[in-house]
Amino acid sequence: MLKIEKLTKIYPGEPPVNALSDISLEMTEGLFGLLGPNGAGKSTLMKILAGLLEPTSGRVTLDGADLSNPQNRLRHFERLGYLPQDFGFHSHLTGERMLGFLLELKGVTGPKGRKALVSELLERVNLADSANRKLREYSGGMRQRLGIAQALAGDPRLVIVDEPTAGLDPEERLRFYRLLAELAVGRIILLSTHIVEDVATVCPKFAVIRKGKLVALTTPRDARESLKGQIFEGVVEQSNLDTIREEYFVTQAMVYDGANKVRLFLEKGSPPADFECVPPTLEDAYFISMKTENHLMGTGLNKASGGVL
Amino acid sequence: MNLKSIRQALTVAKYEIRSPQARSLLIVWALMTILLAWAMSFGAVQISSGSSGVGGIKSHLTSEFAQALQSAVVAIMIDGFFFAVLTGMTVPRDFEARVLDIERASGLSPRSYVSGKFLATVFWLLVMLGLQILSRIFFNHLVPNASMQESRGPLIPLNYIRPMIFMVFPGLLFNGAMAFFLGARTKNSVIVFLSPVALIMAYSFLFSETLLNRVPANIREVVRLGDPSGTEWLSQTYLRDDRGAEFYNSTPIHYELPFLMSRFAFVLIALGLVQASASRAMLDSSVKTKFRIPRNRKLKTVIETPHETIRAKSMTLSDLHMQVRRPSWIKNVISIARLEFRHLLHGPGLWLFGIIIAFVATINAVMQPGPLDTIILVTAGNFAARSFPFVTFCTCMLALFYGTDAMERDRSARVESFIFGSPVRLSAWLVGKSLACAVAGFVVVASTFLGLCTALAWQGQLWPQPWPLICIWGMLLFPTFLFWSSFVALTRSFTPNRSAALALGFVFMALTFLLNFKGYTNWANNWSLIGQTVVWSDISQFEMQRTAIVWNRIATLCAAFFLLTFASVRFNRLEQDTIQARSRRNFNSFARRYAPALLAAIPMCCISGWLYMQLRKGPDGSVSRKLNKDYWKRNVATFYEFPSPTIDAVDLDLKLDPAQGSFHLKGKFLVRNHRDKPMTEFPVTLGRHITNSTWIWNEKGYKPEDRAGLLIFKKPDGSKFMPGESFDLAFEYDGKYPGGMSKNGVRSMEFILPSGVVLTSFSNSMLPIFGFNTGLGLDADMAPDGREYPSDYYKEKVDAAYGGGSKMKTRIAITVPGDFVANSVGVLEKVVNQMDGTRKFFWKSDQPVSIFNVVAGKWSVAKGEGVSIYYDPRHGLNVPDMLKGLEASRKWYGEWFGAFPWKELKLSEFPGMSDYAQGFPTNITFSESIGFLTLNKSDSNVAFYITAHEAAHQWWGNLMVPGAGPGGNILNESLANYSAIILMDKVIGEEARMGLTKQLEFDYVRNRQGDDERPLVKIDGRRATDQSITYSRGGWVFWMLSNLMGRDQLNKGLAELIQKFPAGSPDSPLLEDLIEIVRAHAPDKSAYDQFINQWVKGSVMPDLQWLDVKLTKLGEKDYQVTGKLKNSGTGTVMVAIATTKGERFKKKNSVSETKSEYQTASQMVKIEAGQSSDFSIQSSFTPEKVVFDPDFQLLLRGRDRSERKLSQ
Repeated sequence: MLKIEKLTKIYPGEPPVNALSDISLEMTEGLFGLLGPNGAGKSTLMKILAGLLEPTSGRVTLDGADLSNPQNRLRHFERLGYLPQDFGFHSHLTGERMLGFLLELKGVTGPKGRKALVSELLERVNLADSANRKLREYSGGMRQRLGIAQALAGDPRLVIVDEPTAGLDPEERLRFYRLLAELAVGRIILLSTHIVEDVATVCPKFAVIRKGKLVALTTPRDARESLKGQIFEGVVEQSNLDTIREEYFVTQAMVYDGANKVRLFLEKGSPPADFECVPPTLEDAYFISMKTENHLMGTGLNKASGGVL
Repeated sequence: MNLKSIRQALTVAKYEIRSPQARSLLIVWALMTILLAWAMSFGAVQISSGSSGVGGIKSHLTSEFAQALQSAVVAIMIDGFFFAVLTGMTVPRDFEARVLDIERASGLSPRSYVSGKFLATVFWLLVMLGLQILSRIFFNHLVPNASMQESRGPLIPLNYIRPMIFMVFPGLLFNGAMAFFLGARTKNSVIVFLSPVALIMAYSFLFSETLLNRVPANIREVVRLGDPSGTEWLSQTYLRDDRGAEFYNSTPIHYELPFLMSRFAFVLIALGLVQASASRAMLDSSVKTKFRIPRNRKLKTVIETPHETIRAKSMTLSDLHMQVRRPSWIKNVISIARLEFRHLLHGPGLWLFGIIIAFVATINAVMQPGPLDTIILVTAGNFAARSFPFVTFCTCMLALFYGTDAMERDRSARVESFIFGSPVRLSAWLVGKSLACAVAGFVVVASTFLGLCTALAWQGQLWPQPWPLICIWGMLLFPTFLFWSSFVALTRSFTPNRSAALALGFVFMALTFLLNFKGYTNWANNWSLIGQTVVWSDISQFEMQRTAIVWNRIATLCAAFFLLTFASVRFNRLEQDTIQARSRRNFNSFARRYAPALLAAIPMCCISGWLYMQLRKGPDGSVSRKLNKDYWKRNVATFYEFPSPTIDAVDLDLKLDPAQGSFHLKGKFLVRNHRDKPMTEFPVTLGRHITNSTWIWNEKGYKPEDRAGLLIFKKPDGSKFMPGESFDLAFEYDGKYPGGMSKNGVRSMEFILPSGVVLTSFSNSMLPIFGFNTGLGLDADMAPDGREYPSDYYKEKVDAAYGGGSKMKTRIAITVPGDFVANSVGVLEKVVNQMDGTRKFFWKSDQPVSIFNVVAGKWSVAKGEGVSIYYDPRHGLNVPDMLKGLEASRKWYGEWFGAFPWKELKLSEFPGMSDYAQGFPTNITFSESIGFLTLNKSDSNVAFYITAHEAAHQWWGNLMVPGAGPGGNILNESLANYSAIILMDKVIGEEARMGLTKQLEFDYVRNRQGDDERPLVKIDGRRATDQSITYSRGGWVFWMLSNLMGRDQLNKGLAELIQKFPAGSPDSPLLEDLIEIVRAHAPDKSAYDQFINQWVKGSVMPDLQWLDVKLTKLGEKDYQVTGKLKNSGTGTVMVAIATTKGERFKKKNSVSETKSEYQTASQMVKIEAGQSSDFSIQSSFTPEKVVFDPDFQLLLRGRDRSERKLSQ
C-alpha cells in the first residue's frame, strides 16, 4: 500500500508557493487516477512519490517502508516504474540502445536475454520498426511510447505515469490503457492526467487536486451518482449566456451546431426553461470540484484534507 | 542589416547581458583578472631587460611593452578561455533550453540573433578588459608593491590602453568568434574550446626558440603576423633582441602597418565567422537536412512502412516473463561508462582535439631542445618524460570539458529522471561518467604517440619502445587522470552551472601550474607530477626518489577516492527541500552526511602526512634549511673567504653499494699550508648525509670543533700551521647520497643509484671540502651581487677557482658490485675480483691533478688511439663520432696548446638525472642526454662538437686552472668553445664550423640583455646572462681574434698561458693575464689592442642592415652590385660582403652527387657604429645574392638579414 501522510511541499520565493498542502492519501493495488488542472501540484506529488523530490513535511511509505530513509529509497527505485511528464532521451542513440541501457540500469532481463526483451517491449509499444533509428528522428508520440516501455519494464510494485498519453494518437492511447489495466493486477499504478476521460476509462478510483489541495477522492461511479438529478442541459441564445452564467452554476458550455449547449449544476431550485435533467458525466463532477470550495464527493473522504478509498 | 534587424539584435543583446546563466563565469573571470593584476604587480610577467644588479636600470612594469606582454599572456591563458566559454556556450545553451524554435517563430532573424548574442559577449569582454586596466593601474600606481619600486614608471594610461586595443582585443575577438561559430554550428559545448586550447597549447608547448630558430624566415613571418595574441609579433619585433631597459621604459610601441593590417583582418574574420554562424545557429542540429542512404543498406530497407500501419500482435506484458535482479555496482559503472564512450566517440570534438594534439606533439618531439641548444634524439623514454606536462595538460583539459559535459548531459537531455529513478547507485553513475572520460585521456595519449612515431620516422634511427610509454603515460599519468576526473565530478557537485564548473576547474588547473612553476609543490601535494619530477633515463628508470614517486601516486589515487566519495556525498538524486535543508544545518546532520567523505580522506591524509614528514627531514626540508641557516649565520662573519690549505695527495678506499645508494669511505689527505702566512685553523664542510665520521690527524685520533656543521681543524698541540708544513688527515665515514626525500625533483648532478654512480671532488657528496660554503643556508633572494674587482686585480696572486690550488697525486680504490666498472682519474693499476662477488678498481694518477671524480656503471667500451668511451650498450649510435672527437682533440689540442700529459683519455656515460658533462682530468663524464642521445646529422656533427668542447677542458680547466676572479671562467668555457670551433673547422670542415658559429651567435643574441651585459673581463657568473656570454660570445671572440691575428699566433699565446700558469701554481690566471700573454704574439699590436678594447674590455655588438642594394649589368657578362651596409649597433667592424652564384655547399638530402657551380666575389668594408659604408662589387658572373659576413667571421645581430636576393 502506498500511504501519503500530511504531505506538504513549499517552494520558497517571493511569495512562497504552496505546491502541496497537507495531502493525505492511501492507495492500494490497482489503477488510481490523479486529476487536476495545470499547476495543481500533480507532477510535484508524482516526483515526491517517485523518490526524486524531498517534501517539506509529511511522509510517504510504500508497503510500510518510509521513503525518507535513503536505504528504503534505493529499494523503492528497484520497484518503481516512472514516466515523468517532461523527459527526453539521448538523441544520438537508437531506440533499442536507449531502452537497453535503461533496462540494464534497472537490472531487467527476459528469458531470452535483455536484447530479446528490448525487442519484445518495443513491439508492445509498436516501435519494433523504429528500433534502430536514432532517437533524434523519433516523433513526439514515438518518444512517449519509448518512455512508456521503460516505465512498464520489469516487475514494478509502483508505476507512476505522469500525463502518459500526451502526444499519443487515440489508438495508441487505448493500447496503452490496456497495458496499464493488465499491469494493475498486484501493483499500484498512479496515473496523473488532466484528461477526465482517461480517468473515466481506466481508473476505478481517482483523486482531484487543486492548488495543492486534495479536493476530491472518489470513484467515477460515485462521482456521477453524487450528481444524479442535479445536472441539466439546454440550448441557450448567445445573448442569454451571460445571464445564465450569473444565475446558475454552469459546468460546461459548448458551441454545438451554431448553438450554445449549456450544462448546469443545480442542487436546489428550478432550472431555466427548456433545460432537461440529464445523466451526469465525470467531467461535470470534475468541473464542479474545480469551482466549489468545499464540494467534496464520494464516500469515506476525510473532510479535513484527504481520505481513504 | 536593416534598422529592424539592428533593433532586434540590440534587444537580444540586452537580454543576453542580463542573463544570469553566465553570471558565475563572469564572477570567476573578474576575480581572476583582479588576482592576476595583483600578481603582475610583483613582476610575475616582466620584460627580460635591464640590469639584474642592485641599483642598475630596471625595465618598468608600467611601460607599454611590459603591459603589452602582460596583456598578451593573460589573453592567451585566461581571457581567451573565459571569453570562448562565454561566447561559445550562448547558442548551445539556448538549444538545450529548447527556446530556439520559439525565438525563431517570434520573427527574430538568425542574423540578428547571432549578432545580438555575440554583441552581448563582446560587451562583457570589454568590461573585463576595462577591469583589467583599472586593476593594473590600481596595483601598480595606487597601492604599489614596495619590492618592485625600481620597476615602476609614471602613470601613462595609454601604456595600458593601447596594447589592449591594438594587440589583445582583435585576437580575443577572433578567438571568441571562432568559439561562437563552432558552438552555433554544432551546438556542441565541447568543440567551442578548440580555439582557446589550440592557442594555449601553441604558446605553452609549440612556439619555442628551438623551433623558431630552425624554421625558414617566411614561416617565422607568418607566425609573427598570424599569431592572434600578438605575442610573437611583440617578441620577434622588439623583445627577442634586447634593446635595453631605457628603450622599453621610454618608447611607446610602434604598431607597424602590416601588424595593424593583420589585426584588422582578425576583426573582419571574427565578424565574418559570426555572420557565417547565422545560417545554422537557430536550427535544431538534430534535424537532418539531408537524406542519406547508408552504404551498407539497401534502399528497400530504408524506406520504412509507417509504424501506424503495423500493430503488435500481442498486447500483454505477462508473456514477456521479465525478471528483475538489481545490477551490481560494477555493472552499473560499466553501463554508464559504455554509454558515455559512445557519446564521446560520436562527437567530432575528440577527433579534432586529437589532430591538434598529434600535430603539437610531433613538433615537440622533433624539436626537443638539448644542452647547448642541440636537438635531442627522440627516444620513447625521453619523449614520454618531456611530453608529460603536455599530455597532462591536454588530458586534464579534455577531461574537464568532457567531464562537465557528461555530468550535465543527462539533465540537459532530460534523461535524469529515468536514470535517477532506477536503482543505479550515485557513486556508480559518477565513476562511470568519470571513467568514460578515460577515452579523452586515451585520445591524448594516442595522438601524442602518433606524434612520437612521426618524429621517430623522421629521425629514422630508433623504434618506439613500449615500456617507457606504459610507465610514464600509463602508471604515472593514470592516477593524475583519476584525480582530475574526480575533481571535475566534485566541482560539478558544488555548482549546477556548467560554466561555473568549467571556470572553477580551469582556475584550479591554472593554480596548479602556477604553484608548480613557483616551486610551492612537493611530493605530498603534487597530484599532477608536473615540474622536475618526471625524468626518464634509459639507464636509470625512476631509481632516484622512487619511493617518493610511488607514494605520491598512491596518495593521488587516495585523493581521487576521497574526491569521488565527497562528490557522491554532495550529489543527491533526491532534489532537496530548501526549507528542510535549512533546518538541517547543524553539526550532527553535517557530520552524518559527510562522514563517508571524512573516512575516505583518512588514507590520503595518512600518506600525504607521511610524505610531508619525510620531506621535512629531507635535504630541502625545513629541518635541513634550519641547520643550513645556522651554519651560515654562525660562521659567515668569521670564515667568509677564510684561507684554506691545499691537498698534495689523496688516498681513498671507497666502497660503493649502488643498490642501497650508500658508500663507506676511508681516506687520507696529505694537507699542506701552501700560503705565505701561518694558519691557526682552517674550516672544513662535510655533507649532512654523512654519518659515523671519525678523524685522524697524523695517525692520532682527532675531534674537530663543530660550529653548526662547519668543522674547524686546529693543530692538536695548539701551535700554528706554518707555511710549507704538511700533515696527514685521515677520515672514515658512511654516507647515502642523495640522502632523504627531495622536495619535488629527481634531478641531481651526483648520485649513487643501482644503475650508475657519479661522485666528484667539487661537492661534498663523498669528500670533506675545505673552506666555508658561502651559499649554504643563504636564501636565493639574499644572494649578493658579484664582487667589484679593481682593474689590476689580476696582477695580485689569485687563488684557483676550484681545487684549492692543489696539484695532487691520487690513489683511489673503488669497490663496486661485480657487474660494474668504476672509473676515476689517472690510470687503472689493477682490478681485483673479491670473494664477496664485488670488484675493486685501483686507480692512480700518472700525473698530478687538481680535481678528481668517481664514476661507475654497467658499460660497453669503445677504444681508440689513447682514448676510450664507456657507454650504455643501448646508446652506441653516436659513439663513433664521439670517439673521433676524442682522438682529434687529443691529437690537435696537444699540438696547439701543449702535449696531453696523461696516458689515456676516457669518457664515461652516466644516467640522465641531469643534463651536463664535466671534464675531469683523464675522466670526462657525459650525461646520456649529452652527445649519446643528441640528434647527430652528418653536416652538423653535434656529437663531435660536444665531445671536442669537453675534451678541451683537459687543457682549459685541468692543465690550467683559472683564477677565482673576473673573467676566470672565460679561460675555461670560452676557450673550450674556441678550441671546439677550430677543431671542427680542421677535422669536419667549414660548413660544420659555420653551422656551429651560427648556433652560438643565435644563442648569444637570444639571451643577451644589453643593460646586464658586462665585458668578458668582468664576467663572474653572477648574472643571468653571464652563461651565454661566457660560452657563446666568449667562444666567438676568440674565433674572431684568431682570424685577426692568425690562428697559429693565438694558439701559441694560449699554449704559453698554460705553461706560465700550470695547475697548482700559487697564482692562477684571469682573462687579463691571457690578454697580456697573447698580445706578445699579435703581429699588429694596434689592431689587437683595438679588438681587445671593443670585444673583450667592451661589449660591442654590431647590427648590420642593407641599404639601397642594386644590381647593374655592366657588359655582356659583367655585373656590379652596389649599395650600403649600415651598422645600427655598436663597434667599428671590418666585414666581408660577397656576391654569390650557385650553392656553396651541397644541399642536404640532395640526390645529385655534384652541386651547382659556386662563384663568389667579395669586398671588405669598415663600418663604424651608427654609420653606413658604400660597397661596390663587380663580378664576371650573374650574381644571385649578396651576403654580408659570408664566412661567419663577425659576431653580429641581424644574421637573418645577411642574405639578399638580387634582381635587375
